[in-house]
Amino acid sequence: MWTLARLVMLEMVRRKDVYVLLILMGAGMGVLVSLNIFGLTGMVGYIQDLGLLFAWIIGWVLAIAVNARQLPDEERRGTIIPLLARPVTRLDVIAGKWLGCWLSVVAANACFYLLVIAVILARGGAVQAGLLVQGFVLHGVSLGVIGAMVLLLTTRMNADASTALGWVLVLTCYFVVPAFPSLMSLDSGWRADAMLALYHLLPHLDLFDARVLVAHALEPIGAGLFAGIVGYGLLLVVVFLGLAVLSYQGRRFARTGRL
Amino acid sequence: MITAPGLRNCLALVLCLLPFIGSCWVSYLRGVGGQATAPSGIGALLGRTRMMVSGELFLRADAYFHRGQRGDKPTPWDDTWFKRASDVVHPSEHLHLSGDRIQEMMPWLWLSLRADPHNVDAHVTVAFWLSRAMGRHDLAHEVLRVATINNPTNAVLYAERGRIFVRQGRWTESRAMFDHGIAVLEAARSERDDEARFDMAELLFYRSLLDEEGGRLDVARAGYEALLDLFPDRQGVRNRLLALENGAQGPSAGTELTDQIGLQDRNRETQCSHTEEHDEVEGGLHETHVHDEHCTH
Repeated sequence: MWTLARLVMLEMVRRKDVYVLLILMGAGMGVLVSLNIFGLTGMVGYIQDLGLLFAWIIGWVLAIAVNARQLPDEERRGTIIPLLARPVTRLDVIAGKWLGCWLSVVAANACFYLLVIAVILARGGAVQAGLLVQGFVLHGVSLGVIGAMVLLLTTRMNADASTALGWVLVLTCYFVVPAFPSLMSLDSGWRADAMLALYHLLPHLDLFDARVLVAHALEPIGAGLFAGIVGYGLLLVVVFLGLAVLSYQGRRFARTGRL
Repeated sequence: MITAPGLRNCLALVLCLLPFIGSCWVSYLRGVGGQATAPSGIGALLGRTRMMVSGELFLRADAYFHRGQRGDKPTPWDDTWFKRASDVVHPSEHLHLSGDRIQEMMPWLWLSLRADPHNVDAHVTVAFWLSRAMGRHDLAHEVLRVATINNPTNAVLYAERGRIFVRQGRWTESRAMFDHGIAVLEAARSERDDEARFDMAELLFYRSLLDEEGGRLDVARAGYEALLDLFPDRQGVRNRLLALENGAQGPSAGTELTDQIGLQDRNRETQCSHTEEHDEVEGGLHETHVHDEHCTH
């Protein structure tokens, strides 16, 4: 499992996706810093806010793109067959791929956060270390959840379909699921029941987004609730990876391609 | 020696960086005193959707004013773990920015103005905070000067400049601005428009107070009468006119003007773009203004 994870990380380093995204983010931060806002100085809140927003968007892009290509690429190249011929279980393959992707994306995310922090400090601002660490950890957990979800999709779909459906799911979980309580109060009957079921079944990705607390220097999340949210994220990862392993167990491969 | 793939990579990098360099250059060239009529880069990019974007950015500034707090309405599902956790991560207490932190909402307002130079509310809001909370009357005047070039027929902008001059104690310039605002409304011939009538009443009242303070009693009297033609039930204005005609000593017109604008400022400082929602959720957290006989607008 560790060997597979290491291979995925090496592939990330070789493919240069992260460098391109880091350059893009640096350009974005440069534009923000270069804005002349009424000639005023000393404002860093918007840089922190938009910088973290960039980090979130880029984190999603990386997590979805990297996870979506892992299994389909192995299958397309035919390397999945010699891989599975080794003493490696499908659980090892799924867990190793997920771990490699997650560690790579979190490492890239750390670079994005460091870039934001560097710009804020360079502009004379201050960062709330405790809040930022909480935000970073929750962000990392959410990337793990997204990775596991996309990896589950790739056990039955090709890379393009998994990417598209992954985006739909991520955006739904982030924007629509938190709005279900208000929508439910406007509806009744089976529609409200269906929304209630989805509200509890779908991942609540908004719980991992502590950007508001960081940007406005509000009270940190209490230790109990923080552990609860992290635990919820890990539970989602285990469930998605478990389903992915179950789904992959039934797959058969031939040298000519998919069966 | 540069290989073909290396050259391609270099070209790709240059193409990627060109918009960034161009944007930096434009930002550098554009200060507050830039040409108001020049199309903004964001505006040109967005076309007609800029109004929507500007509105969203304005709401973003409002969210900053509330320190990121969201005003969710209560639902029957509020006692689920997810909702309770979400309320901690995205709190909904009622907080306002204050002191030096007020300027943290300025970037959003700036972007809102850049996206739509015809967003009068955003201009007035920016000018108010620059002048009232940050004491930057110069910047506030500059913002409104640019706004009046882009929106020459909007009397609200002249009224706001007049109020800033009152805060500065520059009554001659203040009167000129109120006068200009009245002329704009008269030229627009929009007496039937309720909003224009309220704006006209406010401008007439302020200008009349300044005339009274300056000893131009006939002009002041004519102003009060014009105001009462618009709103005959304004008893406070009628009392002021009666006192003027009888030569009675009432409160100084200058004091009255600064008090009125000070009261308005305090109301505006606690005002949100979604006051109704707060009133519904929190049982009326904001002072609700009720029009009565003392009301001037």
